[in-house]
Amino acid sequence: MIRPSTMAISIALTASTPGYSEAADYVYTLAQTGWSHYQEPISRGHDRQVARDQLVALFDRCTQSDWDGHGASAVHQRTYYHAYKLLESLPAGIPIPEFGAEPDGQITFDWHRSARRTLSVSVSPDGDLHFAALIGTNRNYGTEAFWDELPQPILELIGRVYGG
Amino acid sequence: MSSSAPPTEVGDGETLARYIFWDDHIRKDLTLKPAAFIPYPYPDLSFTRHLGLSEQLIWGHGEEVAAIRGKPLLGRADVGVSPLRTWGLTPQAAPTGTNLHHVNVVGWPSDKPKQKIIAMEIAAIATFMPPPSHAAPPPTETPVAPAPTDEPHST
Repeated sequence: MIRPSTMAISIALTASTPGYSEAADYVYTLAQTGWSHYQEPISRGHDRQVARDQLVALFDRCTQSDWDGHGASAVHQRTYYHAYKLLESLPAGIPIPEFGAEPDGQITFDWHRSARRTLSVSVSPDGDLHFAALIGTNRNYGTEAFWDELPQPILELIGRVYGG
Repeated sequence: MSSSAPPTEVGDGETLARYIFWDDHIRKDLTLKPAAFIPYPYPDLSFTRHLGLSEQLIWGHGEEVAAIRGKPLLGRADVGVSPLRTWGLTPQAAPTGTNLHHVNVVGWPSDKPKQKIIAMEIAAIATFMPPPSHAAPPPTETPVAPAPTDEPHST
């Protein structure tokens, strides 16, 4: 493991402004990757790195429109940016979700235990998190804004998917 | 692909097939993700009615769509009509030139979270069927010797 330099961490802190630019994004993502590795135990860090790789692979497959042969919208770089930050915001102990893409270009995070214990969160280009969950006979759905922290309602739904 | 035209009205007891072309829509346990049922770019979702069709014809229509999309057919999701209606959706017969059993499922809300919860309900009841070509070959009773070849072996 390569420790992030003080410089990289400093860049990460100063680059985490609400504004969006591709250059700031790139630097921020690089710095965040290193900083996250530094913070996590090795096993958890490995899982998260696998997840990062999966997210990148998904993004690569869906950067062109019509990736499904049926008129799907491309996954925009901003969508990937928010998805990456959402992944990084998952607290320790939260299972790593399965990733996917929807035909409207949103990236999905799926926590799935069974047909009636399942949660899907769609990350939109503007940072909205559209979620839907089936927990037994209950249906939950809605939208939460993402501001670099996993919204509490979604955290609670993940807990209910994996709860007893 | 030849088949006789089914009645225009889609019955509650019918089963519909949605063809799957994207491997991310299939979980490792062969259940389906809600993303397979999100209506986009059109405000409806395409299915094929089983009614009066043989398995071969149902798969044949899937292969036709695969050829149009330029994607391999990975399977199909079978869904009953009755549950679709309970979620406010309506299957409408929409025969095409090659598929007289084609239907559009309409009535989707425009709100994304509402679309997702319906897609999730459909995924929860859908039965995934892999295409026949993915089935294991039948066991042979006696070993078959490789056929001789006249072609020279390269070394």
